[in-house]
Amino acid sequence: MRARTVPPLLFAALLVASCGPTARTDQAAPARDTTAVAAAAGDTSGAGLTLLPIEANGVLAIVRDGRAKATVVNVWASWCAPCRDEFPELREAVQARAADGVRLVLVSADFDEQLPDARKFLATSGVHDTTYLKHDADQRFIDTLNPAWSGSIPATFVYDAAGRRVAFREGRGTRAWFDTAITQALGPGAGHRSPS
Amino acid sequence: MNHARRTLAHVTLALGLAMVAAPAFAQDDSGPKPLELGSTAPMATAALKNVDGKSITLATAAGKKGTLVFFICNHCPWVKAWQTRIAAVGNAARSKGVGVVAINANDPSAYPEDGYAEMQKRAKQLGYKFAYAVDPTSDVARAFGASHTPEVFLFDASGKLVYHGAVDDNAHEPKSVEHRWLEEAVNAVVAGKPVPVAETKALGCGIKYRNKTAS
Repeated sequence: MRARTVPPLLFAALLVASCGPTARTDQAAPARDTTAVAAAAGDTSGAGLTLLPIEANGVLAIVRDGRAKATVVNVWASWCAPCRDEFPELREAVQARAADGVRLVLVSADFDEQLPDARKFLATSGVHDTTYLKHDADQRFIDTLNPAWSGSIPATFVYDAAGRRVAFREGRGTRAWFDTAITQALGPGAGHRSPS
Repeated sequence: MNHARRTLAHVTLALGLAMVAAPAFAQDDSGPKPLELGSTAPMATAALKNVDGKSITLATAAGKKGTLVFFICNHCPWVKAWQTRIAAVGNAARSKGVGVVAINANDPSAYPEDGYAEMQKRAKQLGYKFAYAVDPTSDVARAFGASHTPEVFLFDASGKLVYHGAVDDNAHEPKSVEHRWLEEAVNAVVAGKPVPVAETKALGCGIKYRNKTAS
């Protein structure tokens, strides 16, 4: 992984390397502009993909930033079978309503040594945007996102434009569940575009 | 309160279905509700197959000072991160008069690494001096409301649940652990004292329950 010195790769490595225990939310603000330019289409290693360290408060700052009509937050891990299983349906559901202002925020719960697998999974799944890596104490992360969450993954949180959580589930989601949750988050008046 | 919330959820569910006519309702779909503190162990007479080939139950495994139940498995990276500590805390608890049972409720058809032979290897490799047993229907896990691995339930000498949650506060970096929740709870139970922190949380792998078989 350290064999090449392509600048974006170095950038990603530095980001990961600099995420000591003191990493704060402001550091993990959405860095959409730094979206892995290196992750050219066809690169399935995902070596250039950025996973920004983030705390639960950083996740909430994103969902409340007013830049989307609805935000779907999904906590996953590369080795988690139900996470991988639901992934295509999750992405399809969000993409079907992207024109309505729905966005997906992916937060990996992988350990550092599993990051190559996480990047590979994202790349082979066609994700080339910046995603996130949980960097927070488990209990605080869980309870900040939803006290009713047991800590089991996958976990999906769906927020409306104001950042209010309108839907939550732990365990594998289905296309129907994601569609319904997104429709709820968009609220009345946004239903003219029927998800299919 | 739970009941009220559930009732409200049902009303909202009906409204939601009526409004969006969707095939499924989103809202709050959290996992099974875990046993409440003060509860006794459910399904204490259900047969569990231990890695030594013998059949055990939670009732027969109970200790004079208390009973410690781990829901674990083999494949889960969080279990792997904690398993040395699980062995240490479990072995220590057993030596102090606490009955200890680790239960694997995962469907091995979903995770072959969680099969019985692999469990036998893991128990030997880690030096478990306590039972590591299969929940053959996953019904014990369901009854406990256990949703993920590892998840810990500790009962005191009178059989009441006094601790539920995580082993400690840092799966990945044992050297950075600040709170040894389970160890402290076990020590309290052995001493007959109140447990300092009774409920904690950590991330874990969702338990893959076996399908309910028609009977």
